[in-house]
Amino acid sequence: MAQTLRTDWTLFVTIVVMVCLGLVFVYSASSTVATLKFEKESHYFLLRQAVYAVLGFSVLMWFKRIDYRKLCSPLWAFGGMGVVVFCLLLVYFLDPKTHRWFRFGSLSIQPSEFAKPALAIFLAWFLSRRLHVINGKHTLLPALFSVLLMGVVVVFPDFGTALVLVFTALTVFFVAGLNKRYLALVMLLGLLLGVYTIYSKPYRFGRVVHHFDPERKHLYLLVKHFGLEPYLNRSAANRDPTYQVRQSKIAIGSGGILGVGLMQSKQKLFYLPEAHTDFIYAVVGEEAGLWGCGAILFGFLIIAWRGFQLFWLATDDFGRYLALAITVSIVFQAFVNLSVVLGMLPTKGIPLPMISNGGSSLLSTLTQLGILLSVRERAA
Amino acid sequence: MDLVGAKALVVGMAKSGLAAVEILAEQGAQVTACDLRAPEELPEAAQALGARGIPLLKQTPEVFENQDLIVISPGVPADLPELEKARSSGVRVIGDLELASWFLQGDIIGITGSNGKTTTTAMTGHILQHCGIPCQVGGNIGTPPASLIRSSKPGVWNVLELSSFQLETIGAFHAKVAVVTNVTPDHLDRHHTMEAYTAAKERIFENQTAEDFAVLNADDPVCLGYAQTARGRLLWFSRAKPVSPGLWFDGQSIRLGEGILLEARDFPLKGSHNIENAMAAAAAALVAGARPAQIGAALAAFPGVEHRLEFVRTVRGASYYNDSKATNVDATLKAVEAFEGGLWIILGGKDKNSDYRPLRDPLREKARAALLIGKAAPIIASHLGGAAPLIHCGDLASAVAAAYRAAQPGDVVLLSPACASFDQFQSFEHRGRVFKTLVMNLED
Repeated sequence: MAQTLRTDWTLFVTIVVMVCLGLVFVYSASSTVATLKFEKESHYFLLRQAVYAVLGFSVLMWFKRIDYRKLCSPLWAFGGMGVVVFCLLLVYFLDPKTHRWFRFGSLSIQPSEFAKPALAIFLAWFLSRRLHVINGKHTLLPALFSVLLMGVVVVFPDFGTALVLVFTALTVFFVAGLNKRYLALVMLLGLLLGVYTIYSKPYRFGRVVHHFDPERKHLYLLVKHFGLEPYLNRSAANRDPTYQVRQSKIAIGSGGILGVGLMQSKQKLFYLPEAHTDFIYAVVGEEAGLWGCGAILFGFLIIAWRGFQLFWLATDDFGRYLALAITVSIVFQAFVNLSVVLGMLPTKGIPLPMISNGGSSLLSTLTQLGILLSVRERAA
Repeated sequence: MDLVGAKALVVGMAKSGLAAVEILAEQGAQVTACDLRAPEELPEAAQALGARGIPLLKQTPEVFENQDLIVISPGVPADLPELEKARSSGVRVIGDLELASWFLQGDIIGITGSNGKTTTTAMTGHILQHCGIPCQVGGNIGTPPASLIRSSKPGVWNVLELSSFQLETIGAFHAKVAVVTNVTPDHLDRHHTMEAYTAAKERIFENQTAEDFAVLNADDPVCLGYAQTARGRLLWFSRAKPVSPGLWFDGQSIRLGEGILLEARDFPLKGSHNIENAMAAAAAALVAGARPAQIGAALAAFPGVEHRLEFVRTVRGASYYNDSKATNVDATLKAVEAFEGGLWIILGGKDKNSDYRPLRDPLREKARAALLIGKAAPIIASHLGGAAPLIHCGDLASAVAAAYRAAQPGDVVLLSPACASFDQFQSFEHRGRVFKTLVMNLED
């Protein structure tokens, strides 16, 4: 059947605008850091990010053009997962310090970012084949497999990505109608893993305790009761765990409704760490005010709307679950990032998709959005 | 602020007093002006006030009665018994700065400190202009704050030099950026104790919020104390150690974090205290939106400030410097620090209960002689005895003549009096101009 392909212009334009906004704010937030800290030109980060954006849009256009149903094969499902897991293992040894980066000259790639599209394809492929026997024994395999993958990722200190992956997998299985008992089991496993991960690094532990108990009234007493106080204080000795969020709130507060104007952020100069990466939304808030923050939030809402809509519009299960997994992972990541910046969740190193500086994150997000566009073009 | 029909008294009819009268009259207040001097001694003020129909009275206890608002000039002690009496009967007593701040539009960069505030203020204005950031400069020196009101606009920075006296009489005054260059003993004749003086300066932070900025000297113990109470975002500067967040001097260059803002050899002013002023000004300009690269270029092109280590001329191989603005011991110390040696230093004027002994060691090392002038000469002589040859000259003209006769090629003749000027001159500017005229008339 010849199908007329209709580009989803609403979604496409939203993506282009978001990436352009990202470039603007990456430049604004990084120009001073670039000259003063890295002794580079002020457009150093902008240029890098622009290269990744061009690269990312080529990938996006490629995935948009090919029929997403071609991805519905064991080759893509296992191949994608396999390559990512292999790269993660490789990078563990190649980057002995942070276990995060492949470096090629001045460009670097963070393989954990690509676990997101790989997992989405894998889950969609699996569910499209097993949907009718979702609660059969064979369904537990992919659940375990994804948890295993998370485990591998969590070994490297990229808790943020792991969180997104776990949440995506759980949501997809929940929607697919997995038996609540199995779901509860997986959630419990995830929770235990999460608690272990938080506890494994004093700085994470400190951030969580201070976030939920800033007055030191309940959670702190529990920590004290179990004799964990010295462990908790190990992080506080180095840095005040509430510092970053306090600075972030000052940035957003001083922006007000209209903002102080592009390039005019003061917080980014000295006070707000990671202003051009994880905390870029605070710079948006300071420079472009409530309007800027609202615009970016609106962008993610459009992506959520166009993505979730596909659950009804897609013509096959593969497309349905693929769109769901992709949309959940992008929107959830944005949600966590915004919550952290606004001080509603403990500080967590997680970039804002399409806006934050970071090539791998941008490439991975645009890959996912390319697939999403492909599903939309071929939807009913 | 509604002043229509309010009875307002302005005390002190110098430049800032006249500006205060003008703004009060414009706001519809019923203004009375007074001064310690009789109206006959103030022909210009009398004429200006007469044209507006504002009465100018001699300052007596009676004029303070039946007022709604009293505005005092920076030169007027805030603890006059008449003022205390007015306060206790519920009359609002404020300074000219507070009055101006009610009507100034645009944010304020307030700069205070015992020394270096004039240079820092001038530099901040210079950097902002150089970077294309709209601003106007005034305050304690130059244009009174009240005279800036008419030209003030939202989005235009008001860069104000503030004295401890002006800060002592604020209420709602709010500085978006508050800069303190340093706090060393000064004006103790009026503040009485160092604690009172420190507290007066601290008031610059009084109405700041978490969104404002405090620029502080990390090498100054008093500033370190201010950091405990300041609510704004802190920005440091230091010429002794790396600071963060802030600017510091490593001996060769001014650094911002790890980056270099300016090499010291590209900076045109003499003396390491001027490096300090440059860092304070650069910090203020940074938070006002100037880019680091532009700031470096602006500082390299700074022309200097009159009466502040101002080079006058070379006569018979000796260089003459006018540092008439040095009205306290610390400022003179910093001026002496800027030279290698061979100094003929002119000291003296009206004493402010200062301790001149800190000058002994640097003068023993660098001075060929100290030339003493004015009323403070005997006290200075008793404090400095033995540190350097002392020549009692009486007035500035004889001091310049004596230095001219004795100076060898390569020597430096420096007017840096460590005293106020009011015994022999109208102001330190007057003293500086007289000095420059004398030097210009010397035969080469």
